[in-house]
Amino acid sequence: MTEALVLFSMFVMIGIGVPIALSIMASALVGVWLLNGSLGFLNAALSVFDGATKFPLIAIPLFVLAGALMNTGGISKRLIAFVSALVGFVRGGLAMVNVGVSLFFAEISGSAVADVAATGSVLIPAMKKKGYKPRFAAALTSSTASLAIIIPPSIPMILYGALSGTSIVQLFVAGIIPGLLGAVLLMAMCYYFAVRYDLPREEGFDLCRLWHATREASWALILPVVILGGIFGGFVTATEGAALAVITALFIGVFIYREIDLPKLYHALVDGVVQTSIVMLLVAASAVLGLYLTETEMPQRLAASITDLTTNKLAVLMIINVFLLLVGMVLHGAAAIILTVPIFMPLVNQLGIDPVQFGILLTLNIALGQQTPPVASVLVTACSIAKTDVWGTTRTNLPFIGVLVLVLMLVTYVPAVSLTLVNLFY
Amino acid sequence: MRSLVRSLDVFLQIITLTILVALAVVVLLGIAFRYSGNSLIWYDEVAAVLLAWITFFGAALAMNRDAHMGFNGLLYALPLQGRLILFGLVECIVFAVLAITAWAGWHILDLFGNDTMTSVRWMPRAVVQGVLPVAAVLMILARGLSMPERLSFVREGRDPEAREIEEEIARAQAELAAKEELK
Repeated sequence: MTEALVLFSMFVMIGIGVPIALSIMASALVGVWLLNGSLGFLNAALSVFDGATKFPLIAIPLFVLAGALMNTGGISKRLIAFVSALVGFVRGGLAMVNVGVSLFFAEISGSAVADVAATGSVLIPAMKKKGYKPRFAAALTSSTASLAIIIPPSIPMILYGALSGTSIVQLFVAGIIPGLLGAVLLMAMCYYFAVRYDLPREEGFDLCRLWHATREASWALILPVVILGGIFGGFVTATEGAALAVITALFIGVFIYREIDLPKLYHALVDGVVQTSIVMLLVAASAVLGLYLTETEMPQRLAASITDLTTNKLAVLMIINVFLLLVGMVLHGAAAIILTVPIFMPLVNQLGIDPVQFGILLTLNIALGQQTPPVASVLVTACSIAKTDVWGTTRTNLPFIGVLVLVLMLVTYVPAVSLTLVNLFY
Repeated sequence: MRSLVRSLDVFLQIITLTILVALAVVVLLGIAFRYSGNSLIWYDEVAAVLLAWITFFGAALAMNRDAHMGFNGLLYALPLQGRLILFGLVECIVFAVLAITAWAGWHILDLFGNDTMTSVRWMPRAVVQGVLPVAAVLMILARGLSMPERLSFVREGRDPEAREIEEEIARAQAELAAKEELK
């Protein structure tokens, strides 16, 4: 009963506008104080520090650092040119380019809002100029940006992996098929709309231009090969892969393209540090909540009460999906992961659900949560660039949300979608 | 007040970026030495501590910029009087949590005595963990210094999330405009 009150007080504090990390910390402090008095506070101070020393999470600031180097070192813009030469000739080409670019860039700076602001500011006005409806441009940009978080490297996956003790490398591998599947489906959807509304091609297919763009981007394209090859090949951990990405991006930016803009890099780095710390403070605070929850055994009891209801894996996954969808409507991604993982993990383990599959399911739910108002910062950002209203855009966004839901259902009910590559490699 | 907020911001920027660069170097050294056949014993422990330092100093920086993740929909939906009451309540909770963290963080330092890090014997554990109370005090300072500005936003009813989105878009468009000029 007390535990329920403690958790309830946390949601009340979040609701009235206390920063989420501090709401978690406040309710956890009350909890440990009720259990152990002021000794509980000392214990909490130890846990909050330990919570911030999880080795796998070092990948987050390092990937953010690599992203800043890519954006300010001329790598990103060459990748955009490459994608556009590759898919721009199809009918509705700019929409295809949008999907392709988002796959590379979303979440790379650690802040979904900043990334959508950066790519959206280029793509949305261009789409409007070519005769795409503003709502369509905003909806597509927003949905593809969210889909990208299941394509590695993905900060929500790193978070989930570190909190649940699941291999981050396996999560990265597992995200590939659902991510590509989602991308293909989104592109198919774009093609359908392009034919229906007679949307333009960018320019004819030009082998010469493609060759030129590929050559220009060849160094930039090495980057994903180095990172993913190193990680998937088992040469380095996810964290070390992130460090390799930093050094490679630095090398290309300084010695090959020679475009690193120092003041811009400095600002990108400071913003990256802020984004990292926002997420990490949530993790640290949740360690204190975890201390309290473990002592009260609440997650285990919750698991027991759900398994009393049903032990059917699929039914439980459905319950979790619905719950996560509701959570995603009112909480931002990282906060949703940090609050739900410690509570759901005992249940997931008890039912023998594969933690890798569950990680992909969770990440997809986070992606969906970014599309569902009232709290949907990615969608809101895209809408303000396109100067459209959020609810109207949400209606246009429904087919794209449908694609995300379809991929989520496939991941939920067909374990092979996420696990085939994992089983193949590991 | 503005200039104090600004100075604190720059101070924290320098600290956090220095630690970030150190972290990247440590991880790269770790890989290099492992592949050269003599792994660094201090690599994991030092890297993890650097992450914690970035976390807490960075959290103070985020506090100074009012950037921590939160939900303000309810607060900004209320009439002025309600907003002001909630604002006061929220500030009380924030200061209480930070003060308890600073107090507890300070008191656990006594418990460490002459303990050092496991792999770096000259580094006292009290210094490693001392970052927590220091950062908590910096967060209290940042929250206090930014209070007048945040209060004025609450009075005017300007939601911080809308503000963040406005700023990011304005910045991205300014960059694009600058590029156009160059052409």
